[in-house]
Amino acid sequence: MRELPTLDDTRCIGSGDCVAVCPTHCLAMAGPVPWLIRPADCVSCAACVAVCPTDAIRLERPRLA
Amino acid sequence: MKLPQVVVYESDGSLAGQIRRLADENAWLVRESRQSPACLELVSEVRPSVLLLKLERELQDGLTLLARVVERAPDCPVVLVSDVKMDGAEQRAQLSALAMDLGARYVLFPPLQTPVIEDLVSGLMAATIRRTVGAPADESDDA
Repeated sequence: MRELPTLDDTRCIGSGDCVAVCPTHCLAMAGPVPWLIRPADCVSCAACVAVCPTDAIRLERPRLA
Repeated sequence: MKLPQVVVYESDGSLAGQIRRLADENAWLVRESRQSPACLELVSEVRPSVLLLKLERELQDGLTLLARVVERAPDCPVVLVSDVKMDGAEQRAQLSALAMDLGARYVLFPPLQTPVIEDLVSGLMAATIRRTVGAPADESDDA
């Protein structure tokens, strides 16, 4: 599986900037934090990483365990 | 970041295999669990979008797990997939009624056809996402 955005919950302040900037609309806010609702649409562009004001997002391969 | 994910509880991996293509296509995570305590822990930890719980020989164990999962994660839709051969419609109806009383959303009996399982998982996944984020999970749902 390719790299996808992962979130450090302890850093996220729920600004929603990542959701707004995502060019493929694969992110959505689920309560106070973003959720990758359409991982198949993610193009790993890292726009969410760049825009996050608290550096809470990284791109990495999802871990199964 | 939370991803849509399916937890499959079974002993042999066959059910997980049946949804693998669908999961790969949508980049959903599929996590497998073969022991009840591990399954309960996984459900509590990851809050899956859908749980497929295969009911095997030990009916009571599977139903107990179902009740505990629903208690711990009431928002997680559980599909009970029976792998137990039952003689008549009455037995299947009784098991279905009991499972639904315990909180299962759907109960499937053999033959377990891949298109049926895929359609069910797709629908539940879309519904869970819609409920969580308050928006359509797929543009096609708007039609």
